[in-house]
Amino acid sequence: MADEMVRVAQSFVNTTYNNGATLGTSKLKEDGLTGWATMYALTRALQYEMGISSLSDSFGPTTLSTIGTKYGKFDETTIPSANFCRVLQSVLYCKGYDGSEIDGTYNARVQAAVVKLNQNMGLGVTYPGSSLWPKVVKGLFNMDSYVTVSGGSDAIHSIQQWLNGRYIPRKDFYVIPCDGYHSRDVAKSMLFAIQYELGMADGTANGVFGPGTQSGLKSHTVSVVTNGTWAQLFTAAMILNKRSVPFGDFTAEVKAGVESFQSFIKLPVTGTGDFQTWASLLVSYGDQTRKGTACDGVTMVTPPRAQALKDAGYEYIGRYLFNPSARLPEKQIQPGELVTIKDAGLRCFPIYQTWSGSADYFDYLQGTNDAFKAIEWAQYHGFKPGTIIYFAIDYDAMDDEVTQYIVPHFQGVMRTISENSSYGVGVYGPRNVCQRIADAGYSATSYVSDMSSAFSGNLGFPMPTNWAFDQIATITVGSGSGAIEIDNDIASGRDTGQGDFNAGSYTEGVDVDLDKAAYRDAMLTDVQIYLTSIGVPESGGDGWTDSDWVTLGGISTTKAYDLVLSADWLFTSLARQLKLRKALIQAPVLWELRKLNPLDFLADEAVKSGLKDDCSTGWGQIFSWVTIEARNYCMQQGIINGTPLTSTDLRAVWDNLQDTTYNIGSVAYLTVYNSYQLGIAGPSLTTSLTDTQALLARYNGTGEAAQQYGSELIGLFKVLENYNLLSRNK
Amino acid sequence: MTGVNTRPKWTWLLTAAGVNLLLGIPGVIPIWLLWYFAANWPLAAIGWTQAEPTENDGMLLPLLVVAVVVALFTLVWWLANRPIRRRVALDPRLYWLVSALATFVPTFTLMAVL
Repeated sequence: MADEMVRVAQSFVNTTYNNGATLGTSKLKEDGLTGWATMYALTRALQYEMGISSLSDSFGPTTLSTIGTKYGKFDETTIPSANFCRVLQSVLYCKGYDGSEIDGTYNARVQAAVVKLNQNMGLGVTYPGSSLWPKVVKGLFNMDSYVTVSGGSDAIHSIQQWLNGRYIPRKDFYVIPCDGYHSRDVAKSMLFAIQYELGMADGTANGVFGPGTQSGLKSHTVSVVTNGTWAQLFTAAMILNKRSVPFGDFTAEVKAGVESFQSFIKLPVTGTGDFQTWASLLVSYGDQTRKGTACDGVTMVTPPRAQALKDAGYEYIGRYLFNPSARLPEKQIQPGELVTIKDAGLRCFPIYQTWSGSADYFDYLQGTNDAFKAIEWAQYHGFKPGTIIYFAIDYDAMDDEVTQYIVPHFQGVMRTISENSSYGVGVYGPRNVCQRIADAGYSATSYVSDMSSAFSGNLGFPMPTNWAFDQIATITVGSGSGAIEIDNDIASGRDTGQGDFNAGSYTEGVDVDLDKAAYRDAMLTDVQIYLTSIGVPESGGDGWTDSDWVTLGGISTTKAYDLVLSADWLFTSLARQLKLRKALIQAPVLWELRKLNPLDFLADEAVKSGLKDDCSTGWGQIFSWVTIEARNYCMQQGIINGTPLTSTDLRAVWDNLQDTTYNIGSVAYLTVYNSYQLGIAGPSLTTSLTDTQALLARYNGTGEAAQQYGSELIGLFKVLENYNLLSRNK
Repeated sequence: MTGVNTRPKWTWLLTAAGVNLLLGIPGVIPIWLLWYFAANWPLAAIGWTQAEPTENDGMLLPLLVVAVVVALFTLVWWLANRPIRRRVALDPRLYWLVSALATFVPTFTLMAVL
């Protein structure tokens, strides 16, 4: 929400500093909203007023030390100029404090605001009075909040204040936010605090969970007899990990909380704050010397390696279903490897990963695509129903990226895996990603990349509630021919992988993705020639009484064709899954797209507004009631999974049909249902042209018009199949 | 009488012909829509034509669209012809018939071309 005094502050910067030119920035937007642009400009203004020649957005060591050396602290006696004061008043307003009209005087209102700020930061005792100390000033020139923000925890807010109050005198400890949220800054401040309590000097303490800190913690086990600072630090760490214990002494209640945490994280349940518990509370990978019972690797498990793993106490191994890269040739499960794993008494959990290293890879369609491929690969390798497949997010996804890209991606994964297989969905990634996907209901279990402790998605986030595997360190097990490098994982028992496998399946002759580079243009030409030959030109109609004129201005043959090609992967996946010809699904969709006319869009609007219950809709121009019948039939036949649909689902199904993947999937299932309605064999890779024509005709219903539909579409089918065949034979 | 139109009657005939020929150009749309509707539903129902197989959402919406377009065009056509008809020395019924036929000319031309 815009704040008038923030707008005044922005106006002050623009007016005083030549619209930012003096500060080396552009003119601030005077919108009354505090943002980084305003903070950066004010930081530069402060540096300018202090006489620093090289201005920077960052409130770095030079800015901080200059305050100390030149002024010591800011108050009514040390403020060097009115504009200097106005900068401080402006930043106070930007942080939600009373800057007293930005009048250039460090008056009583400003002093009261500073007292309030110090209190909110937890520095009321350390910095009594109304002076602004250098580290407090540094804490002003950022976007951190010092009051509990929406959804924040008051308990965490108190811990943040306590940390600030106790450790701010230390050289490398700066004011942390007091917003009620655990974060990277808070996690690091906890490590600083522990290092200070261990007696590390300024300059030695660095906020890193290094050997010195680990060694020190090993001699600082806390238990019910512990009071004082160590108990406070331990209970703070528990609270930051979302464990509901009181902050302060190590009481019986804390002991119970510790036991619960240790049980959850799969540590020995001792009820004491021992080193392993400290480690798990402070860094995502915890004690990396822990002996895991699960692992994953990119190397083929040979009999000697399997034996080495077994001898080292491993029970579960994660292996990759597929490897799109020539690098790491053994990353994918190798022929015979699952038999080796089984014979050694190990169990395997599959991982699906392609190019999952940045946000732009992920979306709903990619999730659907990945899920289809994962199902096929899992079946190829022989994984049995019930197997949980882990889909990887192998980068440090920010929270907004999780919302925008990864959650929709997993919606596609979950919908496809649930509908088209008996497998389950797991997620491999940082803690925050895993928890967000679990909360959205799109994963059964999580495989947590805790080894990446510097990931924002791990720092400050507790272990996901549904974690199955906790990846903590890369180690080598065995020696000689049995030596194998693995990621050592802690297993929770939520997923025990698979210890037995089917023979594996692959159907010869199934369709593949179209070789667009080779065939796109030639195939389009043939489609256009065929359609024109039956009175459907590139657009419009071919004669006065031709009803195709109603499509003029709608979707041309080229456009319809390109749309179909854009979803080629989906047609391919469905055809491979159902073991039928891709052109049988493509032909009606291409035809219906080409034949879309304004009346179709009007019908859609009539349904949306409630004037109609149902109409043919989407790419396949398929009715909701037809979809319900087709999907129910496929569920009854065990072709797809799902809850049987009823007439009460009519609108929900119609809404789903607006989703192209659902719509095209429904077209595919309808061809299967139509074979039942016609009393002919289900569509397969060897369905005759006569039966194919009958299926295409039945897509339009029954009667003379449907027969015409079938005779028109069989030609289109032949054209499409011709190029699909060429792609298959490549 | 001063101010009263004193143009010769034959020029109004030319005006009527011009206006209706011009109206016939946009008139192609409602006339074709009428044909589209008739061919896909009533005529198809009695077997005179074959319905477009992809037209399967019912006749109510097309009927509404055709009715609105035809009604609007008819209104414009009538408003354009009414002042001219008063000034043309033709029997009103003959005037409306000839005007309607003139309006159809662009459509017939298009039919001949396509």
